[in-house]
Amino acid sequence: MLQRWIAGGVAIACLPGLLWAEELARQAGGAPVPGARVVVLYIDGLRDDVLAELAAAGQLPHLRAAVLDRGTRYPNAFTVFPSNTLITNGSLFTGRWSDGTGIKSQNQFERSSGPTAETDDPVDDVRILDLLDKFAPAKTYRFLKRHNVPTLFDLLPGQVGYTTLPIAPLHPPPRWMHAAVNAVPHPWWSATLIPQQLDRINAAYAAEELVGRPELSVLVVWFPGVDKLCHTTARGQFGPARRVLIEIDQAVGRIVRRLKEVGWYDRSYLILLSDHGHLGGRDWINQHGDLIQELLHRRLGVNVRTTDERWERHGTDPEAYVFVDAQGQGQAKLFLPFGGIHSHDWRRRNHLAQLTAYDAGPNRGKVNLLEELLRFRPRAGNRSPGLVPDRPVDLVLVKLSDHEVLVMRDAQNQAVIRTVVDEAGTVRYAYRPSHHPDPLGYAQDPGFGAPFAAWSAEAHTAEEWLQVTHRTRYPDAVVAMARFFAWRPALAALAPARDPDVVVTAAPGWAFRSSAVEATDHGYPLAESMRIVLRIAGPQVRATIDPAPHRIIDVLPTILEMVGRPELAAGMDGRPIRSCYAP
Amino acid sequence: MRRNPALLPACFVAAWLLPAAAVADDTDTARFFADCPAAPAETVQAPLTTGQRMAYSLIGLGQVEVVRAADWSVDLLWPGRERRPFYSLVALTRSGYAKLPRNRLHTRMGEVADALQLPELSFGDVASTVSPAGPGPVGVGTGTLDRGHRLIDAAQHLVGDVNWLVGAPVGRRQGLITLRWPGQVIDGLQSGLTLSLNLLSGLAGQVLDTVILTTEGVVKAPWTMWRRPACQERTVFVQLPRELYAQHQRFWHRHRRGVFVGTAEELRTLTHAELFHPRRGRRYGGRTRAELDRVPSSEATVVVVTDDRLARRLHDALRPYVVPAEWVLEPD
Repeated sequence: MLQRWIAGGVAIACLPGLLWAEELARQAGGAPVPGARVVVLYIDGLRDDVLAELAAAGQLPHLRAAVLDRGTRYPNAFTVFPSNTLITNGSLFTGRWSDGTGIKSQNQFERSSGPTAETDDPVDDVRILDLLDKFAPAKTYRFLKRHNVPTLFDLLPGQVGYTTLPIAPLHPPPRWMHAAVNAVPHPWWSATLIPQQLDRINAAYAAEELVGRPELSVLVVWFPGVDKLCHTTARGQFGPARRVLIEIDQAVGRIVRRLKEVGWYDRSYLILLSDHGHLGGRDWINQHGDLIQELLHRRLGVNVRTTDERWERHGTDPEAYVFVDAQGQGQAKLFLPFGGIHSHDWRRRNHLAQLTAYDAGPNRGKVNLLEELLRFRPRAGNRSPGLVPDRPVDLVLVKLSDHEVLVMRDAQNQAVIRTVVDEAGTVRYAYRPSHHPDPLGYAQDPGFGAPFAAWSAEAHTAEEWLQVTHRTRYPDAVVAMARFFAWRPALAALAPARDPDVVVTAAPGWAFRSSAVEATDHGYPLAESMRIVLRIAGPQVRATIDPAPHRIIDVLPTILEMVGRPELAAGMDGRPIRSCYAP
Repeated sequence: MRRNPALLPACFVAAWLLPAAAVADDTDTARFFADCPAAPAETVQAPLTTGQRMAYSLIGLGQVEVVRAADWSVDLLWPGRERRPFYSLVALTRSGYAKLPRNRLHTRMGEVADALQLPELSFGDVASTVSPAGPGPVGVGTGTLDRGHRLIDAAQHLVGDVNWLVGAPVGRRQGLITLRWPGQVIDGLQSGLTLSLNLLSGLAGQVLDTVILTTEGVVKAPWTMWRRPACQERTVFVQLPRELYAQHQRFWHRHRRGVFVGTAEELRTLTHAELFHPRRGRRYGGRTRAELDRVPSSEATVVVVTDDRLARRLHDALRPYVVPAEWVLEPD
């Protein structure tokens, strides 16, 4: 036993040196060429393994020629938690974790005033926004602007050309609707066709309206089709969404032809990326762990609201409700009235004491809400026993304080993530399980890059955590979860209204879906959902695979360095990626 | 095959009267509601209504390019594969220009040509429209406005070039005039104009939306009023202490036709049809259905069964006692 501890101690003592050596090797690359432009090809929800598989099968000739065969692949790049589009876009376009953007959900529910009363609520007119797919990009952009969080669009004013995006100063951008009407086959039915053909329209808009404009140094082209189809098909990227990816390949071919035509291609960096992955569709079809209807509405008997639906029982007080944000379906954030469902007190968050004895009404009495969530088993049972767990809820997360997060797998299997700041201002994260195995399973995970017992005895930096966890089932989870529950001082005033009471994550093979649709999903802290596509190609870029881990927050500093403005990345959490350049 | 014209209404009536026993749900709750009449299917609400789709598509037609319309005209004359002669001509010109030797003059001329956007000329460029995108840039002659912006940008770049050319001979590498604010003021005015028009466009879109939805609401009102959801959706179970029921005895008694009070055990042996659809069976409980006396005094808790209409008038003190049907009918 003593020998194991000594060996563990030695390994941990050596780790900073190893990390430093790896960092040196990583930074030892060259530099971007001056006067370059950047074209970001952003395929929403694309899995890196699916991209590699289709490319190897020769299905993506244009992507291969332009990016995959002549660029660097980063197979260990990860997004933030929860792995949902709007949250990840906040980090992508600011280079910050969500504690520095304030964008922590898809709908910005405000505890104090409800989901639609606050002026910067991006969903207050969701019906019309559905026409252009997703949320309210301009309102989310204004939210960032109002809270002094600079985005790519502010850092390079007038130099960024973009298609429709989840977050953008203008939605849609100038002349986009013109391009859309003329890109669909039947303009007289454009309101139906445009939402179905966003990939094709965005490619046409980029090729016709953006490429060639001399003032632009960064182009961002969004392809939402893969993600959209994954949300409505059981097999997702292991089924019909592959056809969409092949169509996107054709669209990329059009953009590349135009880049060559105007003479930009040879001096442009192409960044191919996704914002999150998808879980399900390959080994199993995701089952419905219907938290909203089955657990909350029927078993606990409470009214439930989501962004666009309500489950209210006749005769009950409609204002006594639980708000659930389960977008992405791999996670759900629960917002509850303080102390009890009938309290009408939305001014503050419930703490552990209230959540473990929550007043569910006179017929139900006080319930341990956390145990109810963890014990939940759908009435329909498990269709894939042995393949996926019987319970839909994987983890329950509760904010204990500004620096502590409780992670629960069951009544015994729990841990606390603690954020500590030392005298030098270095932020470190400690992960202290109460029992073994730990809730994230790091102790048993063969991908965990250090002896667990010794590692968990101390706090470590975000980079160290990324290094040791990037091959595990829950990559970067400790830092990502801590950052999700944290708020930077400039945004701390939002915490009382926007911190959820409880966050639950779905187990592999399950989704918190309330509709009958079978689909693949995201939002989970699991590797399939957290891993993103990140490929870089362009002048002086090596055709290689770099297994070093990276985060989505590194993308913006990398773009800024490519266009010769690295100084603008000051204050960001991400760091520029340089290992792609030939020395 | 000739169809009997009486068949359709007969089918409709049969569907209305048929019990909903065909549902494959074998729970006690399903059994309780099994003999109730079926309700008409609820229409699924799409993200956009038909009226919105038609209106937005109609407005979108204003964005169709003249070149595209001309291509259609030609294509209509020759059957077979799609022909796009005008578009091909534009693409050929553009690609030919791109192949010319590159220099500053080439760039600026290209910029001015792009700013004019002649191939993108559309019918809506001279019309007043609202953007079908909702909040977004401008429907009012979007193309014309964009041309104006781009020409201003091109003019700024040309002035910058001239400034640089004049400054170079006298050793001023940044140009003869180094002031930046005039350009910044023009950029600011352009941005301000765009944002203002965005706002106006967004408001116009919302007004249009309101008009469409209100009109559709009025048209659909008779159907909405007529439709009653299924019994299972309308039925309300209130599980409350006997004393609390007694305190509101006058309310229950006043609405006794729509109220049944009993115990959970009793309800597990009954059906909703027996209680509330007298034509389908005996009217259980008769006149005493809302009387507390019919429940044995040993029962501390009673269950009231009623419907959504009466539930809306429940006293606030009773609302927390409304429970899901499953709690009463499926205690395990």
